[in-house]
Amino acid sequence: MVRRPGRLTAGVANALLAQLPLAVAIVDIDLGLHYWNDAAADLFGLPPLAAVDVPHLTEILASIPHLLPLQRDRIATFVKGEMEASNRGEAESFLRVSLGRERRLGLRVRGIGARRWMLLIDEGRVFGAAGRSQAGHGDAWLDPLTGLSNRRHFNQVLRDMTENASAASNQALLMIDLDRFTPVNDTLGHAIGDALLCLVSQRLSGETRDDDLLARLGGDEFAILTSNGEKAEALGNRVVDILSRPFVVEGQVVNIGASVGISLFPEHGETAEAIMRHADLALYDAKSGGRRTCRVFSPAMAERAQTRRDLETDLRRALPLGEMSLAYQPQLNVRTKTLTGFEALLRWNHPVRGAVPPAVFIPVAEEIGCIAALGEWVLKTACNEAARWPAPLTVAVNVSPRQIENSERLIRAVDTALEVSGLSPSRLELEITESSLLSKADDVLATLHRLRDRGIRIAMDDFGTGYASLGQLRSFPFDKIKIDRSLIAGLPEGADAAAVIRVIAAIGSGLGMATTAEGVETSEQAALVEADGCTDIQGYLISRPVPASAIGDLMRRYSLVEA
Amino acid sequence: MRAYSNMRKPLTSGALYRLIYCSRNIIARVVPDASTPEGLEREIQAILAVARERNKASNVTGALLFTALGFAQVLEGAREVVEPLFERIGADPRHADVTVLSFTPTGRRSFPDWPMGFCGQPSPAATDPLAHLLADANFGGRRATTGSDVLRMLEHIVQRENEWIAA
Repeated sequence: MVRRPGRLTAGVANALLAQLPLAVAIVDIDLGLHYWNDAAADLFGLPPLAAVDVPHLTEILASIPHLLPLQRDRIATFVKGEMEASNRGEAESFLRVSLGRERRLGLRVRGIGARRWMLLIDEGRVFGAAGRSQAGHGDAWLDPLTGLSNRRHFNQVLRDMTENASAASNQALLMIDLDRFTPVNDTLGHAIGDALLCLVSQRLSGETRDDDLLARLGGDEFAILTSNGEKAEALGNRVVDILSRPFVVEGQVVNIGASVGISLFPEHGETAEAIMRHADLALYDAKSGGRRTCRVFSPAMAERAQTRRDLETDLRRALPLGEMSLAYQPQLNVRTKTLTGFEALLRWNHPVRGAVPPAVFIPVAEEIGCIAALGEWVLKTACNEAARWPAPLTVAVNVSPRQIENSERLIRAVDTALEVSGLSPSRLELEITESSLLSKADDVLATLHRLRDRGIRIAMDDFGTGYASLGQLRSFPFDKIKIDRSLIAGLPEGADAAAVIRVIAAIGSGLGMATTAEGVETSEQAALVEADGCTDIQGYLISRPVPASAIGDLMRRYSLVEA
Repeated sequence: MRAYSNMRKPLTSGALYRLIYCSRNIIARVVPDASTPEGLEREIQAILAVARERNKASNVTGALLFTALGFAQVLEGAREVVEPLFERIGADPRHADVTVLSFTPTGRRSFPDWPMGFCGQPSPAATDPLAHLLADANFGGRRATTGSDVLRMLEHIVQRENEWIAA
């Protein structure tokens, strides 16, 4: 007898389908479920067939734990789209949806005729999830420290959300960045830093709803994806508040804070990338706005960021394009009325922007890390120029706190500039600001001593504003104190300013330091600061900063060279 | 947090710590019922009842001062109990500007008999004993106190007055 494979009887087919380890359901055009097998019943938590009226797919999806509302909408939209596609005879596609942190669903829709469609759902565990509870690591979707979703899972859900633009609306992304976390890690150690991150994630969990996705994106960066877009700003403010409250951990009190940037979907962008970028811009705005704040993205932020990016691009190539130059402002000894030297001032003349003020571009250069290269160029150019002047005229060069932080590079640049130009070290003066001494003062002082040991003069710049601590004057044998122009501007009316100038000049005299009054514009001011005890003046009264080519004229005017 | 409890280093178990904090009272803003004196009284009694129940179970002692402006509280107990307890208290929305004045190991309890002693001064008095503390905390930085004055103040009240509601 010949045995051939053949069609199943209905009974066998039914039993087979019921036990298939793949969830199968049959739906109508309105997403009503007319059949489900055992695997689907398990997945959806459905009662046995015939025990209920035809349930609706969206109700069923709503009962699946960990499935976000935006994912539910996405599934419903996908199923409807596939129904229409199969009617048109187009190829079927596949939808993958992550479910919680550990599982994912794969969906397929297949037309079976008679206005019925078969829904095939396979449920997979994410790789490595099974071993998580034992091993405590190795989960591809989980941050092992805090147990929150990781960046990978976050990206997946964000893509799920944005790729279904029609159904998902009023979503919000909150980017959260801890303020002052790095110092905690550095000073108290990583064990306390890690424990702190766990407490942070606990507090954040307390503020989020089950529907929200809370993720640790890395380091001290967290994100919340919420379907409650209208309340996103309130949530952001709560996050700022709750993370600003003190932590006690491992016997220590730790005070940090947080900044939050928010972007709304689809209002602020329709792709995952745009949403992320805009939330990041809002976060940047919050951080630069003094931290411990929450900001919602606005198009003006994007414009500011673009302006800033353009400035950075131009600044990076300004040096190679020869747009940088130095201007020199003379300094005069008030007693002998002779020139003592010039301060070299960096000028940026951009072909389109025109003259860009140093107050605008120096902070940017410091932030994007090109201040060292600029500083080296200034040192080299100023020393070369000064080497042509008659001795003992000095040249003063400003040194940024960022340059002092990298002491080896700074000292190398100074040595090279002096060596190449042949300028005597005693004719080079480096001006540092008070802010240089605010952090890592010991390292800074060591660097300053190494420079001074070479015979280079060190001046304290812009003194009399900011912290203006007398302790700083005692911490290092400065050769000169430069009194900030804002004090001179108060003369002759300001009695307060005059008193401060007098005190600084007296202290300078007592400590054996020269005192230069900056920003002297009138002869009346010059007479006053001389009476107050200043040894030198600098300002428009003598001359504006001039290009190197005009220095000869200035020298002739002060009879330093023959006419 | 699973990972947190796993990663904690072995502790000097049971080391006694004392935590002192002060904070600004915003109960009326958060709990509408507490805008009347009676409602406030109910709210405070509820806070105390919960605190005493919880503290007895975990061998925590201390005292709470409540004024028109804010709270000052001393918590004493094993470090591994005090830390999570403060994590909960600190996050409570009914107060703001929470400032830890001190958190140190201590040899003895200052309030050995009190699961949570209480001194209330809910109506605005001539001078609020917390006024200067909260002003400092609001000022956002250097504390004029290490909490020892708060501790002395609370100890003084507990010895001198009979306002305490026995637990």
